[in-house]
Amino acid sequence: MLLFGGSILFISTTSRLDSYLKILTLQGVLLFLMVIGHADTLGLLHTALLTLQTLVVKAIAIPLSIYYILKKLEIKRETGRYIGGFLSLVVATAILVMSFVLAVIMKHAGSGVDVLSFGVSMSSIVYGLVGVITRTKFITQVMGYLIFENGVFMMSLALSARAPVIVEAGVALDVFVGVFLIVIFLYRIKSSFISTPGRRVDPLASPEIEMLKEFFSR
Amino acid sequence: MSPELALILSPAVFALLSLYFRSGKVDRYLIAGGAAFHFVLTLSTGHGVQPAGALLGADNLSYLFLLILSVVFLSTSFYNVSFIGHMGKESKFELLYVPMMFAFLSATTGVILSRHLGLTWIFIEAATLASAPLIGYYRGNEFLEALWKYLFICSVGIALSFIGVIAMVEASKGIAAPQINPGLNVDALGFYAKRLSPLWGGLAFVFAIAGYGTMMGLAPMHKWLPDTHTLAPSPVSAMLSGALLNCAFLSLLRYYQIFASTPLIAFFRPVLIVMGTFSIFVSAVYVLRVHNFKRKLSYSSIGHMGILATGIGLGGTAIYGAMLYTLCHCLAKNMMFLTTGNFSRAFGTMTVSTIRDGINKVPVSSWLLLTGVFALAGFPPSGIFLGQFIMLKQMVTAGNWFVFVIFTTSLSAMAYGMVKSVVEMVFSKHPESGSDRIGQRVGGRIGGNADNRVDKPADGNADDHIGGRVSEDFLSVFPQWVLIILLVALGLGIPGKLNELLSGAASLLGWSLGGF
Repeated sequence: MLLFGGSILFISTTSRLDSYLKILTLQGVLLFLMVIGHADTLGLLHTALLTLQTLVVKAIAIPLSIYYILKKLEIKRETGRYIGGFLSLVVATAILVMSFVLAVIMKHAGSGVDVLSFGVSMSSIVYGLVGVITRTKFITQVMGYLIFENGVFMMSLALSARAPVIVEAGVALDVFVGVFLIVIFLYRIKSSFISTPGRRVDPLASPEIEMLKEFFSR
Repeated sequence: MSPELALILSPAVFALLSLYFRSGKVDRYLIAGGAAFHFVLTLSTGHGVQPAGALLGADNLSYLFLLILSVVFLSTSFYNVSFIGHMGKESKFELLYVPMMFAFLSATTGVILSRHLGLTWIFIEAATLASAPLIGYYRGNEFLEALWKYLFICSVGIALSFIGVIAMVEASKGIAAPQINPGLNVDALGFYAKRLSPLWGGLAFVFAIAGYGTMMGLAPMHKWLPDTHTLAPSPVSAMLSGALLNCAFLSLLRYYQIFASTPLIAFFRPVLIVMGTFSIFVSAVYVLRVHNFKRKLSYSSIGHMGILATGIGLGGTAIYGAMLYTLCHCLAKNMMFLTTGNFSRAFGTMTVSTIRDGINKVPVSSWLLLTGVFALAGFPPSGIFLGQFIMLKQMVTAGNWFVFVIFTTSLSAMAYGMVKSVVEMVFSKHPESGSDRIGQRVGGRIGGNADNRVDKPADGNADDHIGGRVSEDFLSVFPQWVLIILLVALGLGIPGKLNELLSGAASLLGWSLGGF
């Protein structure tokens, strides 16, 4: 759980995409361990299903396909962030602190939350959202979304382990990630075109893309 | 098989049939047949109080939405018959178009019929995914951008509403006892609403507003909606604004319904009012500023969703007004988007300044657009006027003057913007010179100005029609006339059965007075 929190801090400092990927894999493994930790409330069948979901989908399939896409598109470093490394670390720390404050407040309001898990998952959700907003490239946006989604999964595990079907329904969010990756891969989007009006760049400026463009405009 | 299950599964069967035959001709029969089948099934489905613990079922509220969906899909399908014909002519026939339409219908029907918050959520996600290939029907950068925005922003919204579902599980912890297991059943949660934990319940509602509000296109999270609705093919835009926005609205209403009898609702109402009026304001500003007519329509969709949120937030009679308004707005918006499709086929663009002299080129569609815009803008003999009037009445009786002022001024601005551009498109006799138009289209191709290419990516065909009349299929104008007649009829008087349905739906949401 603490490692998960630490991973958020680390991810904010780095701009190398492969270390990003390692962190995402680590998060997947950590989620898997948390599922194992909840095994007694979940029951055998649901534990098996959730293990499949976390270990196979989150820790193996998604990172592998992102790795494949990165290699195909030859992207190594992240560019086009709105905020720099140090500031990003400050933001991440602030989010972490505020989430824990919120968790403590919730606990005192008599909601019976576990401060640690609620705080960490909340900060992961908020950090993921910030990541989605401040990134400009598709692939990094998807990574931000993954952090966000891992936070949602963790929260659902912490809160509704009594209703495992709901936790499993969260796998539907992974379907979205899959669709995003397919879209990126099919259209070979290297750069971004979700940008503010002044920053518009031609996204498909590479030979192979020109070919595809030709193909589609026919 | 229960009719509810049949309603959800039958579109899937039609989708499979279409995949099997893989032919445009068969698709045309299939889509009309499937829609008619769905409509008949809808009419024969019973509605009323549902047995406790049922997963699927139609109470008054969902039956109203089901009826809307079915009518909207029926009209869109008849239009689609002609649309698919044109697809074939332009050799842009898409194998997945009809199956995905049916998948979308199936998912939205599921959203409406489901009585379990988790199941609703899953169907919403399915509907989003099913509509994605429809939106990405035309290839190109702008279309891809619109598709990405749609998928990404909506997926964030969907994830947020998932947190709402989780919080609801936590809120219902207090109810669970050996005999009672409410799960996430709407009726059960509503019945035991007073025992829900207010803290978690509040959290659930806030996340539901954030999540489903994104799907509805409420103001701070509306950025995806104009792009998507502008760049999708017209029948798809018509379905999106007639069905998808409604489904998101209904999912939000489910939370509202659960808390309608608790003191918590007093905290939620102002939130809805603030977001609603803000949406209305934003849409009024943009309707006046943007140049593409379809974009104007999508911004007006945002405004109309804002009106619905405001109506629900006001409570009292306004809830009845909002129910009537939902019905009429869907009919009107569906009709407008379909007619827009005729225009963009004839002119190759939807930019208001380049469409001139519509009355001579596409006379029937022009008259449709002209009557439709008055109905949509809320001029008297139209159901929209009645809905708005009921809401305004509630504002006055409750002394909500601030909302009243924003509501009326923004709506007037919106009506002015819409009517003005339609009159220009239809009656103005000064077509810009041909070279200008071509220049603009080429410019659109290079500069990525997507607005010029809606519904007909520039391929030069538009020049064939300059000066002459463009033929209009019977089926590409007939459904709209029916919708207009319905709208006007609703403005003149509401039939008893429909009134029962509307008040039944409104009373589920906490409206306690008798008929209107």
